[in-house]
Amino acid sequence: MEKQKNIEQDILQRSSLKENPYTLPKGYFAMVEDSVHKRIHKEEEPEKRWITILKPAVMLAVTFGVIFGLGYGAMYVTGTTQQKSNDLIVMDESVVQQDTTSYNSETLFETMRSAALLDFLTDPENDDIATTSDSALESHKDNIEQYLIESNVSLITLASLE
Amino acid sequence: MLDDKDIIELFRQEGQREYAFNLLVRKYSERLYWHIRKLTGSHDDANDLLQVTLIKIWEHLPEFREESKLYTWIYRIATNETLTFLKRKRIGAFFSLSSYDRILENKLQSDQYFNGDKLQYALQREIMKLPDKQRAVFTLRYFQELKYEEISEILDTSVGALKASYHHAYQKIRTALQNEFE
Repeated sequence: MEKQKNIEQDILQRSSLKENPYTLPKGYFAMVEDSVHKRIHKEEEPEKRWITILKPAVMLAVTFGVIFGLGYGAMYVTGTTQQKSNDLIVMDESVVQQDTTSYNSETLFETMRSAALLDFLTDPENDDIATTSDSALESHKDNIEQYLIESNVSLITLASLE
Repeated sequence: MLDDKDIIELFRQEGQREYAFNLLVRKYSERLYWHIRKLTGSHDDANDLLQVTLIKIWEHLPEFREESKLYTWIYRIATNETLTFLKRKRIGAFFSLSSYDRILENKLQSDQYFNGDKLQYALQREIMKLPDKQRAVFTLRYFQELKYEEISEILDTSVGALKASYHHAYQKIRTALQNEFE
């Protein structure tokens, strides 16, 4: 009697608690059977050889190779590669030009003056300097010195002229 | 339906292996599923683990020596797989700084296949709070009503230790439910 009372008081002895509160998707166990059979047959297939495993990677590499080869071949036939090297030269020149323009104005002015001096010295009209008399030569020297002082040519430029 | 001994004999006959295994799957898959489901609390996990268990049975049945009953051997595979799975999940949860008990509770809360009342929900929730092995002891004894000797074979634990573990779990759950519902 006492035991029966204890059981009634014990919440875990309620029969409803032993009932299964979960449900399942319809046809679940049939699906499990199929799925397990498929997995078993798959696992029993002969072990794949390394070539079978590497095949997709090899195929991918070959595909890339073929695409690259075709692309390069087409460029070679149409002369795009030559055009490209010409483009490179043009680009180099533009870089040089860009470098020149990047000088500041003072440097540029200096360069222009040096160029004027060079023109003066290389001009055939001035060749008579060497053949003229000493007094005329002195006069030319004075002119050159005066020119050099006025044009503010650097010592380095003068050294290079000698 | 054939008994376990007949199924094993059939399994050992030439060309009957798959048929015998089919019989075994039909006989045990439902029981195993519910056992795993009560331990994991999730249909998806139970589904994966059931299939892994059945494949292991297929692979290792030729080595079965009949030193124990077939169903305790099958339950042992299912329980070990599930406990290993739960251990892995707990370690994963530890490193992601979350509580796996909370994850289990959330799974139960959001389970679309749970159709019980409030008391049943509370019972499942309290079961989920038990340590994994104690949960296995409790569900095998409380729901499946296996004898301690059978549970001892499945979990490879002494009967005395199992009785203590079950009693402890039972008291804990009963106290929690009584506090909530009485």
